[in-house]
Amino acid sequence: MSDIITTTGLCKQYGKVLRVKDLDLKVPEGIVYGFLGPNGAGKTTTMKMILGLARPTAGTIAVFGKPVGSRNRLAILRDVGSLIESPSYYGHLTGTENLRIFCALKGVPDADIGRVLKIVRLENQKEKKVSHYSMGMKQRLGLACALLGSPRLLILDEPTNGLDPAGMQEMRELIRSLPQQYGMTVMVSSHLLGEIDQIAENVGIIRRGELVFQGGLSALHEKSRTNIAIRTQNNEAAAKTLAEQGVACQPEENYLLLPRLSDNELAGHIARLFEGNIGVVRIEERRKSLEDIFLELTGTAVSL
Amino acid sequence: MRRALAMEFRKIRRRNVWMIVAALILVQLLWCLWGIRSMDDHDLTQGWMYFLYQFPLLNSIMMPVIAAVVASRLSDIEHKGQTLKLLNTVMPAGRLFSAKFICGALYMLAAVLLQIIVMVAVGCLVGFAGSPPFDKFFCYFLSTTAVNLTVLILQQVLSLLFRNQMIALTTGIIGSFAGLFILYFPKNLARYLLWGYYGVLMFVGMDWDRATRITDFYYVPIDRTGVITLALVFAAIFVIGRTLFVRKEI
Repeated sequence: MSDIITTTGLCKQYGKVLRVKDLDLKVPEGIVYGFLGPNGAGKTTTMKMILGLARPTAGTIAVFGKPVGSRNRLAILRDVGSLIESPSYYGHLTGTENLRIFCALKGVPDADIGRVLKIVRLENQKEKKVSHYSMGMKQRLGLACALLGSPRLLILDEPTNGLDPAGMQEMRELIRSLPQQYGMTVMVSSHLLGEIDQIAENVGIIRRGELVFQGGLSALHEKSRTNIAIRTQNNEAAAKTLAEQGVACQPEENYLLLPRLSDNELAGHIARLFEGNIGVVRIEERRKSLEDIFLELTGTAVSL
Repeated sequence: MRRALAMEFRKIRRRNVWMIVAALILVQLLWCLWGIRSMDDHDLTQGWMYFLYQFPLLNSIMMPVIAAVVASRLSDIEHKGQTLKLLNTVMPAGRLFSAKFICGALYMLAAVLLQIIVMVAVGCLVGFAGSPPFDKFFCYFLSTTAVNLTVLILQQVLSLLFRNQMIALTTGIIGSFAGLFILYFPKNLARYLLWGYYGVLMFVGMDWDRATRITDFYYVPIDRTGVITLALVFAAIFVIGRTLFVRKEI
Protein backbone atom coordinates (compact mmCIF):
# COMPACT_ATOMS: atom_id res chain seq x y z
CA MET A 1 0.00 0.00 0.00
CA SER A 2 1.62 3.27 -1.14
CA ASP A 3 1.33 6.51 0.77
CA ILE A 4 -0.95 9.11 -0.78
CA ILE A 5 0.26 11.94 1.49
CA THR A 6 3.76 12.15 2.88
CA THR A 7 5.12 15.04 4.86
CA THR A 8 8.74 15.32 5.94
CA GLY A 9 9.90 17.60 8.73
CA LEU A 10 6.83 19.80 8.26
CA CYS A 11 6.93 22.92 10.44
CA LYS A 12 4.75 25.99 10.73
CA GLN A 13 5.64 28.98 12.79
CA TYR A 14 3.23 31.82 13.62
CA GLY A 15 5.13 34.68 15.19
CA LYS A 16 7.50 33.05 17.62
CA VAL A 17 5.32 30.01 18.23
CA LEU A 18 6.01 26.78 16.36
CA ARG A 19 2.48 25.46 15.82
CA VAL A 20 3.55 22.38 13.85
CA LYS A 21 6.89 20.75 14.58
CA ASP A 22 8.76 18.31 12.36
CA LEU A 23 5.69 16.43 11.27
CA ASP A 24 6.34 13.23 9.33
CA LEU A 25 2.91 12.07 8.21
CA LYS A 26 2.29 9.01 6.09
CA VAL A 27 -1.26 8.52 4.87
CA PRO A 28 -1.67 5.16 3.11
CA GLU A 29 -3.89 4.98 0.04
CA GLY A 30 -7.40 3.57 0.11
CA ILE A 31 -8.17 3.94 3.81
CA VAL A 32 -9.67 6.38 6.28
CA TYR A 33 -6.80 8.05 8.12
CA GLY A 34 -7.81 9.63 11.40
CA PHE A 35 -5.87 12.72 12.41
CA LEU A 36 -6.47 13.03 16.09
CA GLY A 37 -5.48 15.64 18.59
CA PRO A 38 -6.85 18.03 21.18
CA ASN A 39 -8.16 21.44 20.10
CA GLY A 40 -5.32 23.71 19.05
CA ALA A 41 -2.88 20.83 18.49
CA GLY A 42 -2.17 21.89 14.89
CA LYS A 43 -4.53 19.62 12.92
CA THR A 44 -6.16 22.36 10.84
CA THR A 45 -2.81 24.09 10.23
CA THR A 46 -1.35 20.82 8.95
CA MET A 47 -4.32 20.19 6.65
CA LYS A 48 -4.16 23.76 5.36
CA MET A 49 -0.49 23.28 4.56
CA ILE A 50 -1.26 20.08 2.66
CA LEU A 51 -3.83 22.03 0.62
CA GLY A 52 -1.45 24.96 0.11
CA LEU A 53 -3.66 27.39 2.04
CA ALA A 54 -0.81 28.03 4.46
CA ARG A 55 2.87 28.01 3.60
CA PRO A 56 5.10 25.64 5.60
CA THR A 57 7.95 27.30 7.49
CA ALA A 58 10.04 24.20 6.80
CA GLY A 59 9.63 20.69 5.45
CA THR A 60 8.13 19.12 2.37
CA ILE A 61 4.76 17.74 1.38
CA ALA A 62 4.14 15.09 -1.27
CA VAL A 63 0.65 14.20 -2.49
CA PHE A 64 0.14 11.27 -4.91
CA GLY A 65 3.91 10.83 -4.73
CA LYS A 66 4.58 14.30 -6.19
CA PRO A 67 6.21 17.04 -4.15
CA VAL A 68 3.70 19.90 -3.82
CA GLY A 69 5.02 23.29 -4.90
CA SER A 70 3.36 26.57 -5.79
CA ARG A 71 3.49 25.69 -9.50
CA ASN A 72 1.93 22.23 -9.47
CA ARG A 73 -0.31 22.72 -6.43
CA LEU A 74 -3.55 23.29 -8.35
CA ALA A 75 -2.85 20.45 -10.80
CA ILE A 76 -2.42 18.07 -7.85
CA LEU A 77 -5.44 19.47 -6.00
CA ARG A 78 -7.65 18.73 -9.02
CA ASP A 79 -7.89 15.22 -7.59
CA VAL A 80 -8.41 16.33 -4.00
CA GLY A 81 -11.66 17.32 -2.29
CA SER A 82 -11.57 19.29 0.92
CA LEU A 83 -13.71 20.56 3.73
CA ILE A 84 -11.73 22.69 6.17
CA GLU A 85 -13.19 23.83 9.50
CA SER A 86 -16.62 24.85 8.23
CA PRO A 87 -18.39 24.49 4.89
CA SER A 88 -17.85 27.10 2.18
CA TYR A 89 -21.01 28.37 0.52
CA TYR A 90 -22.82 31.37 -0.94
CA GLY A 91 -25.82 31.81 1.35
CA HIS A 92 -27.90 33.80 -1.14
CA LEU A 93 -27.71 31.00 -3.72
CA THR A 94 -29.40 27.61 -3.72
CA GLY A 95 -27.57 24.35 -3.08
CA THR A 96 -27.57 23.52 -6.78
CA GLU A 97 -26.35 27.00 -7.76
CA ASN A 98 -23.49 26.69 -5.28
CA LEU A 99 -22.46 23.31 -6.64
CA ARG A 100 -22.72 24.59 -10.22
CA ILE A 101 -20.17 27.31 -9.47
CA PHE A 102 -17.70 24.86 -7.96
CA CYS A 103 -18.37 22.35 -10.76
CA ALA A 104 -17.41 24.99 -13.33
CA LEU A 105 -14.31 26.04 -11.41
CA LYS A 106 -13.21 22.44 -10.90
CA GLY A 107 -13.96 21.58 -14.52
CA VAL A 108 -16.45 18.89 -13.53
CA PRO A 109 -19.64 18.40 -15.63
CA ASP A 110 -22.89 19.63 -14.03
CA ALA A 111 -24.24 16.08 -14.27
CA ASP A 112 -22.15 15.21 -11.22
CA ILE A 113 -24.29 17.48 -9.02
CA GLY A 114 -27.17 15.00 -8.86
CA ARG A 115 -24.81 12.19 -7.87
CA VAL A 116 -23.15 14.06 -4.99
CA LEU A 117 -26.46 15.44 -3.73
CA LYS A 118 -27.75 11.88 -3.63
CA ILE A 119 -24.70 10.69 -1.68
CA VAL A 120 -25.19 13.35 1.01
CA ARG A 121 -28.99 13.06 0.80
CA LEU A 122 -29.72 16.67 -0.04
CA GLU A 123 -31.74 16.07 -3.25
CA ASN A 124 -34.93 17.40 -1.71
CA GLN A 125 -33.32 20.60 -0.44
CA LYS A 126 -31.31 21.46 -3.53
CA GLU A 127 -33.49 24.39 -4.64
CA LYS A 128 -33.53 26.00 -1.19
CA LYS A 129 -31.26 28.96 -0.44
CA VAL A 130 -28.26 27.77 1.55
CA SER A 131 -28.78 30.53 4.14
CA HIS A 132 -31.98 28.68 5.04
CA TYR A 133 -30.14 25.38 5.52
CA SER A 134 -29.50 23.97 8.99
CA MET A 135 -25.89 23.59 10.15
CA GLY A 136 -26.02 19.87 9.35
CA MET A 137 -27.30 20.53 5.84
CA LYS A 138 -24.56 23.10 5.23
CA GLN A 139 -22.01 20.57 6.41
CA ARG A 140 -23.45 17.98 4.02
CA LEU A 141 -23.38 20.52 1.19
CA GLY A 142 -19.71 21.12 2.02
CA LEU A 143 -19.09 17.39 1.77
CA ALA A 144 -21.03 17.23 -1.53
CA CYS A 145 -18.78 19.97 -2.86
CA ALA A 146 -15.69 18.03 -1.77
CA LEU A 147 -17.05 14.93 -3.52
CA LEU A 148 -17.54 16.70 -6.88
CA GLY A 149 -15.55 14.96 -9.59
CA SER A 150 -14.90 11.88 -7.40
CA PRO A 151 -11.47 12.94 -6.17
CA ARG A 152 -8.93 10.29 -5.16
CA LEU A 153 -8.27 12.02 -1.87
CA LEU A 154 -10.60 13.75 0.58
CA ILE A 155 -9.28 16.01 3.32
CA LEU A 156 -11.96 16.63 5.93
CA ASP A 157 -11.32 18.79 8.96
CA GLU A 158 -13.69 18.04 11.82
CA PRO A 159 -16.58 17.21 9.46
CA THR A 160 -18.97 16.35 12.29
CA ASN A 161 -18.62 19.74 14.00
CA GLY A 162 -21.98 21.30 14.66
CA LEU A 163 -23.95 18.18 13.82
CA ASP A 164 -26.52 16.58 16.11
CA PRO A 165 -25.82 13.00 17.30
CA ALA A 166 -27.85 11.45 14.47
CA GLY A 167 -26.12 13.67 11.90
CA MET A 168 -22.73 12.77 13.37
CA GLN A 169 -23.45 9.06 13.05
CA GLU A 170 -24.70 9.49 9.50
CA MET A 171 -21.59 11.47 8.53
CA ARG A 172 -19.29 8.87 10.12
CA GLU A 173 -20.98 6.03 8.25
CA LEU A 174 -20.73 7.96 5.02
CA ILE A 175 -17.00 8.67 5.53
CA ARG A 176 -16.34 5.04 6.45
CA SER A 177 -18.05 3.85 3.27
CA LEU A 178 -16.07 6.11 0.90
CA PRO A 179 -12.91 3.96 0.49
CA GLN A 180 -14.88 0.80 -0.30
CA GLN A 181 -17.59 2.38 -2.46
CA TYR A 182 -15.58 4.96 -4.37
CA GLY A 183 -11.97 3.91 -3.85
CA MET A 184 -11.16 7.20 -2.11
CA THR A 185 -8.61 7.88 0.56
CA VAL A 186 -9.97 10.01 3.37
CA MET A 187 -7.89 12.01 5.81
CA VAL A 188 -10.24 13.11 8.55
CA SER A 189 -9.35 15.13 11.61
CA SER A 190 -11.14 15.10 14.91
CA HIS A 191 -10.60 15.81 18.56
CA LEU A 192 -12.99 12.98 19.40
CA LEU A 193 -11.20 9.70 20.01
CA GLY A 194 -14.43 7.69 19.88
CA GLU A 195 -15.19 9.11 16.46
CA ILE A 196 -11.81 8.20 14.99
CA ASP A 197 -12.07 4.77 16.62
CA GLN A 198 -15.32 4.23 14.71
CA ILE A 199 -14.22 5.32 11.27
CA ALA A 200 -10.46 5.13 10.81
CA GLU A 201 -8.08 2.31 10.07
CA ASN A 202 -4.91 4.32 10.51
CA VAL A 203 -4.40 7.10 12.94
CA GLY A 204 -1.96 9.92 13.54
CA ILE A 205 -2.05 11.57 16.95
CA ILE A 206 -0.75 15.10 17.22
CA ARG A 207 0.04 16.96 20.41
CA ARG A 208 1.18 20.59 20.48
CA GLY A 209 2.22 20.30 16.86
CA GLU A 210 4.17 17.08 17.29
CA LEU A 211 3.22 13.65 16.06
CA VAL A 212 3.14 11.38 19.09
CA PHE A 213 1.75 8.26 17.44
CA GLN A 214 1.20 7.07 13.91
CA GLY A 215 0.11 3.65 12.77
CA GLY A 216 -2.83 1.28 12.57
CA LEU A 217 -5.62 1.74 15.04
CA SER A 218 -5.08 -1.92 15.88
CA ALA A 219 -1.57 -1.02 17.10
CA LEU A 220 -3.14 1.56 19.38
CA HIS A 221 -5.59 -1.03 20.66
CA GLU A 222 -2.67 -3.36 21.24
CA LYS A 223 -1.28 -0.79 23.64
CA SER A 224 -4.43 -1.11 25.64
CA ARG A 225 -3.56 -4.67 26.69
CA THR A 226 -4.21 -5.96 30.20
CA ASN A 227 -1.72 -5.69 33.05
CA ILE A 228 -1.66 -7.40 36.43
CA ALA A 229 -1.16 -5.19 39.44
CA ILE A 230 -0.14 -6.69 42.75
CA ARG A 231 0.33 -5.11 46.12
CA THR A 232 2.43 -6.80 48.74
CA GLN A 233 3.62 -6.05 52.23
CA ASN A 234 7.15 -5.52 50.82
CA ASN A 235 7.07 -4.43 47.22
CA GLU A 236 10.83 -4.08 46.97
CA ALA A 237 11.50 -7.66 48.00
CA ALA A 238 8.65 -8.85 45.82
CA ALA A 239 10.12 -7.10 42.78
CA LYS A 240 13.46 -8.76 43.47
CA THR A 241 11.89 -12.21 43.80
CA LEU A 242 9.90 -11.73 40.60
CA ALA A 243 12.98 -10.49 38.74
CA GLU A 244 14.80 -13.65 39.77
CA GLN A 245 11.98 -15.58 38.07
CA GLY A 246 12.35 -13.49 34.93
CA VAL A 247 9.30 -11.30 35.42
CA ALA A 248 9.93 -7.63 34.82
CA CYS A 249 7.70 -5.48 36.92
CA GLN A 250 7.23 -1.78 37.28
CA PRO A 251 6.38 -0.05 40.52
CA GLU A 252 3.35 2.23 40.31
CA GLU A 253 2.18 3.97 43.44
CA ASN A 254 1.86 1.15 46.01
CA TYR A 255 1.54 -1.53 43.37
CA LEU A 256 3.80 -3.56 41.13
CA LEU A 257 2.68 -3.79 37.51
CA LEU A 258 3.30 -7.18 35.93
CA PRO A 259 2.93 -8.00 32.26
CA ARG A 260 0.06 -10.13 31.06
CA LEU A 261 0.42 -13.65 32.52
CA SER A 262 -1.54 -16.84 32.30
CA ASP A 263 -3.42 -17.94 35.44
CA ASN A 264 -0.95 -20.80 36.08
CA GLU A 265 2.11 -18.58 35.70
CA LEU A 266 0.64 -15.98 38.03
CA ALA A 267 -0.32 -18.60 40.61
CA GLY A 268 3.27 -19.94 40.53
CA HIS A 269 4.78 -16.50 41.04
CA ILE A 270 2.44 -15.66 43.89
CA ALA A 271 3.33 -18.98 45.56
CA ARG A 272 7.04 -18.02 45.38
CA LEU A 273 6.25 -14.72 47.09
CA PHE A 274 4.46 -16.59 49.91
CA GLU A 275 7.45 -18.91 50.18
CA GLY A 276 9.66 -15.83 50.66
CA ASN A 277 7.28 -14.65 53.41
CA ILE A 278 6.05 -11.70 51.38
CA GLY A 279 2.40 -11.18 52.08
CA VAL A 280 0.30 -10.48 48.97
CA VAL A 281 -2.61 -8.24 49.86
CA ARG A 282 -4.08 -7.28 46.46
CA ILE A 283 -4.10 -8.84 42.99
CA GLU A 284 -5.90 -6.80 40.33
CA GLU A 285 -6.37 -6.96 36.59
CA ARG A 286 -5.88 -3.56 34.96
CA ARG A 287 -6.77 -2.65 31.47
CA LYS A 288 -5.69 0.63 29.86
CA SER A 289 -8.52 2.07 27.87
CA LEU A 290 -7.98 3.81 24.54
CA GLU A 291 -8.81 7.03 26.38
CA ASP A 292 -6.00 6.38 28.88
CA ILE A 293 -3.56 5.92 26.00
CA PHE A 294 -4.78 9.06 24.28
CA LEU A 295 -4.41 10.90 27.58
CA GLU A 296 -0.93 9.53 28.02
CA LEU A 297 0.08 10.48 24.49
CA THR A 298 -1.48 13.92 24.39
CA GLY A 299 -1.42 14.88 28.04
CA THR A 300 -4.91 16.26 27.56
CA ALA A 301 -8.27 15.10 28.78
CA VAL A 302 -10.11 13.25 26.06
CA SER A 303 -13.43 14.46 24.72
CA LEU A 304 -15.97 11.78 24.05
CA MET B 1 -10.24 33.92 -17.05
CA ARG B 2 -13.52 33.99 -19.00
CA ARG B 3 -14.87 31.15 -16.85
CA ALA B 4 -13.72 32.88 -13.67
CA LEU B 5 -15.47 36.09 -14.76
CA ALA B 6 -18.66 34.20 -15.64
CA MET B 7 -18.57 32.66 -12.15
CA GLU B 8 -18.28 36.12 -10.58
CA PHE B 9 -21.54 37.10 -12.28
CA ARG B 10 -23.11 33.81 -11.21
CA LYS B 11 -22.04 34.40 -7.61
CA ILE B 12 -23.71 37.81 -7.41
CA ARG B 13 -27.06 36.58 -8.69
CA ARG B 14 -29.81 38.07 -6.52
CA ARG B 15 -27.28 40.46 -4.94
CA ASN B 16 -28.77 43.28 -7.06
CA VAL B 17 -25.46 45.05 -7.64
CA TRP B 18 -27.04 46.81 -10.64
CA MET B 19 -29.39 48.64 -8.28
CA ILE B 20 -26.45 50.63 -6.90
CA VAL B 21 -25.65 51.85 -10.40
CA ALA B 22 -29.35 52.48 -11.10
CA ALA B 23 -29.65 54.55 -7.91
CA LEU B 24 -26.66 56.65 -8.90
CA ILE B 25 -28.04 57.31 -12.37
CA LEU B 26 -31.46 58.19 -10.98
CA VAL B 27 -30.02 60.71 -8.52
CA GLN B 28 -27.82 62.27 -11.21
CA LEU B 29 -30.74 62.42 -13.65
CA LEU B 30 -32.80 64.30 -11.06
CA TRP B 31 -29.84 66.61 -10.45
CA CYS B 32 -29.64 67.31 -14.21
CA LEU B 33 -33.34 68.06 -14.44
CA TRP B 34 -33.07 70.41 -11.45
CA GLY B 35 -30.09 72.17 -13.04
CA ILE B 36 -31.80 72.82 -16.38
CA ARG B 37 -35.16 73.97 -15.03
CA SER B 38 -34.42 77.67 -15.50
CA MET B 39 -31.91 77.83 -18.33
CA ASP B 40 -31.94 80.92 -20.52
CA ASP B 41 -30.61 81.16 -24.11
CA HIS B 42 -27.07 81.87 -22.93
CA ASP B 43 -27.12 78.80 -20.73
CA LEU B 44 -28.51 76.64 -23.52
CA THR B 45 -25.59 77.55 -25.79
CA GLN B 46 -23.24 76.26 -23.11
CA GLY B 47 -25.44 73.31 -22.03
CA TRP B 48 -23.08 70.53 -23.02
CA MET B 49 -20.16 72.18 -21.24
CA TYR B 50 -22.40 72.74 -18.20
CA PHE B 51 -23.06 69.00 -17.98
CA LEU B 52 -19.40 68.12 -18.54
CA TYR B 53 -18.56 70.50 -15.70
CA GLN B 54 -21.31 69.36 -13.33
CA PHE B 55 -20.94 65.60 -13.68
CA PRO B 56 -17.29 65.33 -12.52
CA LEU B 57 -18.30 67.34 -9.43
CA LEU B 58 -21.19 65.00 -8.76
CA ASN B 59 -18.91 62.04 -9.39
CA SER B 60 -16.36 63.17 -6.84
CA ILE B 61 -19.10 63.04 -4.19
CA MET B 62 -20.94 59.91 -5.33
CA MET B 63 -18.55 57.64 -7.19
CA PRO B 64 -16.26 56.78 -4.24
CA VAL B 65 -19.28 55.48 -2.33
CA ILE B 66 -20.61 53.64 -5.39
CA ALA B 67 -17.21 52.01 -5.98
CA ALA B 68 -16.97 51.08 -2.30
CA VAL B 69 -20.41 49.46 -2.32
CA VAL B 70 -19.83 47.61 -5.62
CA ALA B 71 -16.45 46.26 -4.45
CA SER B 72 -17.89 45.30 -1.08
CA ARG B 73 -20.93 43.53 -2.58
CA LEU B 74 -18.60 41.48 -4.79
CA SER B 75 -16.10 40.66 -2.05
CA ASP B 76 -18.11 40.17 1.14
CA ILE B 77 -19.81 37.05 -0.24
CA GLU B 78 -16.43 35.32 -0.05
CA HIS B 79 -15.94 36.32 3.60
CA LYS B 80 -19.51 35.53 4.64
CA GLY B 81 -19.48 32.02 3.19
CA GLN B 82 -15.79 31.39 3.98
CA THR B 83 -15.33 30.39 0.38
CA LEU B 84 -11.76 31.61 -0.11
CA LYS B 85 -10.32 28.46 1.45
CA LEU B 86 -12.23 26.38 -1.10
CA LEU B 87 -11.65 28.72 -4.07
CA ASN B 88 -7.91 28.70 -3.36
CA THR B 89 -7.85 24.96 -3.96
CA VAL B 90 -9.60 25.15 -7.34
CA MET B 91 -8.28 28.35 -8.94
CA PRO B 92 -5.27 30.66 -8.63
CA ALA B 93 -5.91 33.48 -6.14
CA GLY B 94 -4.55 36.00 -8.64
CA ARG B 95 -7.16 34.98 -11.21
CA LEU B 96 -9.94 35.38 -8.65
CA PHE B 97 -8.65 38.87 -7.83
CA SER B 98 -8.54 39.88 -11.50
CA ALA B 99 -11.95 38.35 -12.30
CA LYS B 100 -13.52 40.23 -9.39
CA PHE B 101 -11.95 43.46 -10.57
CA ILE B 102 -13.18 43.02 -14.15
CA CYS B 103 -16.66 42.23 -12.87
CA GLY B 104 -16.73 45.39 -10.73
CA ALA B 105 -15.14 47.41 -13.53
CA LEU B 106 -17.95 46.44 -15.91
CA TYR B 107 -20.49 47.89 -13.46
CA MET B 108 -18.47 51.10 -13.15
CA LEU B 109 -18.13 51.26 -16.93
CA ALA B 110 -21.87 50.80 -17.32
CA ALA B 111 -22.42 53.66 -14.85
CA VAL B 112 -20.34 56.09 -16.95
CA LEU B 113 -22.02 54.99 -20.20
CA LEU B 114 -25.43 55.52 -18.64
CA GLN B 115 -24.34 58.96 -17.43
CA ILE B 116 -23.41 59.90 -20.98
CA ILE B 117 -26.74 58.58 -22.26
CA VAL B 118 -28.53 60.70 -19.62
CA MET B 119 -26.51 63.80 -20.57
CA VAL B 120 -27.14 63.36 -24.30
CA ALA B 121 -30.84 62.53 -23.84
CA VAL B 122 -31.55 65.41 -21.46
CA GLY B 123 -29.47 67.83 -23.56
CA CYS B 124 -31.31 66.94 -26.76
CA LEU B 125 -34.68 67.06 -24.99
CA VAL B 126 -34.06 70.52 -23.58
CA GLY B 127 -32.50 71.75 -26.81
CA PHE B 128 -28.88 72.52 -26.02
CA ALA B 129 -27.21 74.40 -28.84
CA GLY B 130 -25.36 72.30 -31.38
CA SER B 131 -25.10 68.57 -31.68
CA PRO B 132 -23.70 66.55 -28.74
CA PRO B 133 -19.88 66.85 -28.66
CA PHE B 134 -19.13 63.15 -28.82
CA ASP B 135 -15.37 63.68 -28.81
CA LYS B 136 -15.73 65.46 -25.45
CA PHE B 137 -18.04 62.75 -24.14
CA PHE B 138 -15.43 60.19 -25.14
CA CYS B 139 -12.87 62.21 -23.18
CA TYR B 140 -15.28 62.28 -20.24
CA PHE B 141 -15.76 58.52 -20.55
CA LEU B 142 -12.00 57.87 -20.45
CA SER B 143 -11.17 60.26 -17.63
CA THR B 144 -14.08 59.27 -15.39
CA THR B 145 -13.46 55.56 -16.00
CA ALA B 146 -9.77 55.98 -15.19
CA VAL B 147 -10.54 57.52 -11.80
CA ASN B 148 -13.43 55.11 -11.15
CA LEU B 149 -11.29 52.04 -11.77
CA THR B 150 -8.46 53.32 -9.58
CA VAL B 151 -10.89 54.00 -6.73
CA LEU B 152 -12.54 50.61 -7.37
CA ILE B 153 -9.25 48.70 -7.19
CA LEU B 154 -8.41 50.39 -3.89
CA GLN B 155 -11.84 49.49 -2.52
CA GLN B 156 -11.55 45.92 -3.77
CA VAL B 157 -8.18 45.45 -2.08
CA LEU B 158 -9.63 46.72 1.21
CA SER B 159 -12.80 44.63 0.85
CA LEU B 160 -10.86 41.46 0.09
CA LEU B 161 -8.11 41.88 2.66
CA PHE B 162 -10.33 42.92 5.55
CA ARG B 163 -13.19 40.72 6.55
CA ASN B 164 -14.89 43.66 8.25
CA GLN B 165 -16.48 45.60 5.40
CA MET B 166 -16.86 48.71 7.54
CA ILE B 167 -13.17 49.45 6.89
CA ALA B 168 -13.71 49.55 3.12
CA LEU B 169 -17.04 51.35 3.30
CA THR B 170 -15.73 53.97 5.71
CA THR B 171 -12.80 54.58 3.36
CA GLY B 172 -15.32 55.08 0.54
CA ILE B 173 -17.30 57.61 2.57
CA ILE B 174 -14.15 59.45 3.67
CA GLY B 175 -13.03 59.49 0.02
CA SER B 176 -16.34 60.96 -0.99
CA PHE B 177 -16.02 63.85 1.50
CA ALA B 178 -12.36 64.30 0.66
CA GLY B 179 -13.16 64.42 -3.07
CA LEU B 180 -15.75 67.13 -2.43
CA PHE B 181 -13.64 69.33 -0.13
CA ILE B 182 -10.46 69.05 -2.18
CA LEU B 183 -12.34 70.83 -4.99
CA TYR B 184 -12.20 73.99 -2.87
CA PHE B 185 -8.42 73.77 -2.68
CA PRO B 186 -5.87 74.47 -5.43
CA LYS B 187 -5.64 71.82 -8.13
CA ASN B 188 -2.06 71.00 -7.19
CA LEU B 189 -3.21 69.87 -3.77
CA ALA B 190 -5.89 67.63 -5.29
CA ARG B 191 -3.14 65.73 -7.11
CA TYR B 192 -2.06 64.22 -3.80
CA LEU B 193 -5.44 62.66 -3.13
CA LEU B 194 -6.83 59.84 -5.25
CA TRP B 195 -10.42 61.04 -4.89
CA GLY B 196 -9.40 64.49 -6.05
CA TYR B 197 -8.73 63.19 -9.55
CA TYR B 198 -12.35 63.59 -10.63
CA GLY B 199 -11.52 67.30 -10.36
CA VAL B 200 -7.93 67.08 -11.63
CA LEU B 201 -9.00 65.42 -14.89
CA MET B 202 -11.87 67.86 -15.56
CA PHE B 203 -11.51 69.46 -18.96
CA VAL B 204 -14.14 72.18 -18.60
CA GLY B 205 -13.40 75.37 -16.70
CA MET B 206 -15.84 77.98 -15.37
CA ASP B 207 -15.75 81.76 -15.11
CA TRP B 208 -18.31 83.51 -13.00
CA ASP B 209 -18.52 87.21 -13.50
CA ARG B 210 -19.45 88.78 -10.19
CA ALA B 211 -20.70 91.99 -11.83
CA THR B 212 -22.87 90.52 -14.59
CA ARG B 213 -23.61 87.32 -12.69
CA ILE B 214 -23.02 85.43 -15.92
CA THR B 215 -21.35 82.05 -15.90
CA ASP B 216 -19.11 81.14 -18.80
CA PHE B 217 -17.76 77.66 -19.44
CA TYR B 218 -14.73 76.87 -21.56
CA TYR B 219 -12.75 73.77 -22.55
CA VAL B 220 -9.22 73.29 -21.17
CA PRO B 221 -6.69 70.67 -22.25
CA ILE B 222 -6.78 67.51 -20.21
CA ASP B 223 -4.14 67.32 -17.49
CA ARG B 224 -1.56 64.89 -18.92
CA THR B 225 0.49 64.74 -15.72
CA GLY B 226 -2.66 63.82 -13.87
CA VAL B 227 -3.39 61.02 -16.35
CA ILE B 228 0.12 59.58 -16.01
CA THR B 229 0.10 59.87 -12.21
CA LEU B 230 -3.28 58.16 -12.05
CA ALA B 231 -2.11 55.32 -14.32
CA LEU B 232 0.91 54.77 -12.07
CA VAL B 233 -1.23 54.84 -8.92
CA PHE B 234 -3.62 52.32 -10.47
CA ALA B 235 -0.78 49.98 -11.45
CA ALA B 236 0.78 50.26 -7.98
CA ILE B 237 -2.47 49.53 -6.12
CA PHE B 238 -3.28 46.66 -8.48
CA VAL B 239 0.12 44.98 -8.20
CA ILE B 240 0.53 45.51 -4.44
CA GLY B 241 -3.09 44.58 -3.67
CA ARG B 242 -2.99 41.47 -5.84
CA THR B 243 0.31 40.35 -4.30
CA LEU B 244 -1.01 40.86 -0.77
CA PHE B 245 -4.16 38.91 -1.64
CA VAL B 246 -2.24 36.05 -3.26
CA ARG B 247 0.22 35.84 -0.37
CA LYS B 248 -2.45 36.02 2.30
CA GLU B 249 -2.78 32.76 4.22
CA ILE B 250 -6.27 31.56 4.90
